[in-house]
Amino acid sequence: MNPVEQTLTVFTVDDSEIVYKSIGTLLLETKNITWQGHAFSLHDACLQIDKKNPNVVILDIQLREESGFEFLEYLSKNHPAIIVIMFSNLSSMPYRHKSTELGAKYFLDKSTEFEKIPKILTELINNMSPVQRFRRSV
Amino acid sequence: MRFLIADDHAIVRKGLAQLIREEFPDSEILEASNSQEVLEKVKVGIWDAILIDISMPGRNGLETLKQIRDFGIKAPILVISMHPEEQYAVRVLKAGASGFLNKDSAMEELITAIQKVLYGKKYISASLAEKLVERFESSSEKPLNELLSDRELQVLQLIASGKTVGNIADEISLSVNTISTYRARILEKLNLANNAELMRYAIDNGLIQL
Repeated sequence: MNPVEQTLTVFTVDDSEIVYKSIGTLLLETKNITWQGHAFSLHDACLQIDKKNPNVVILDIQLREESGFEFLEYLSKNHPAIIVIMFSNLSSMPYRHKSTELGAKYFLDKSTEFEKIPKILTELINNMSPVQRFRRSV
Repeated sequence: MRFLIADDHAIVRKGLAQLIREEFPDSEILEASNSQEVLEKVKVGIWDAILIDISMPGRNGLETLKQIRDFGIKAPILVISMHPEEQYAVRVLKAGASGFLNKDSAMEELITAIQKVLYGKKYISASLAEKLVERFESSSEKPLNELLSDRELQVLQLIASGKTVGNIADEISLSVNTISTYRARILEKLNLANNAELMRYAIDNGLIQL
């Protein structure tokens, strides 16, 4: 495989099954993306992300009884290379600021900015350094 | 089979469409993002099932449902909502829906609901059935908002979501005076004094999403 065409690996975390279906469909339609998997709980997310080490995690802020912010802190501390896209219906400025403070690179409103995901991922692929591309290809 | 999915959120439409496509691979699925689009599309051809979100802006899902029935369209309509089921179930079933379920429902439940309405049956979840039975058993504990008409409930939700009387009048195509009258009736029926208390009531009773 040509290293330049290597894919970006993405993992998603959200407790809604409808969101799982829609975001999965969107990722599968996006070129050069490998959707590594999805977790409906943070415990499962932790186990899978530790194992799979994706390039990008798309993370909901509010999962049933769990806080996506706590998990964002965990990712920033233990997986600093992972790019986190926060993805939530709670999109007012305090949530956006807190996400940035805790290390998220992007914040998307689930209701209105869902369709921006492919564009952001494509930009991330284009901005990957040759070294990163090569590393991901081996 | 032909399905129409109406929801103002693209993410929900896409998720539901994918779910239906997996279960009914040869189906034709059309989407609508607001009431007007639904009312235009629903008149064209025959539908096997229509899925409608209750919280679309402007004419909401409940109003849209009534309008579809007024057109004489008899296709099964499944209403989906982010709101607690017990707040709307009776209203939507009375208005002619075939079923009602929450957007947080598991995939299996969504499929069960769709299959049931396709066979011409009604669908409510087991948890909702239980809540409704409990309510019949303790009729004195009915929430006050059940005293509101569908339109009053809609106005309550719009005020509680921070909209002004003027905004609401524009959104649902009524006069400012009419909306003010609805507001006064709502406050009286719910024994509330002002908009702040109305907002608190809506939040406490799961009538708006935060």
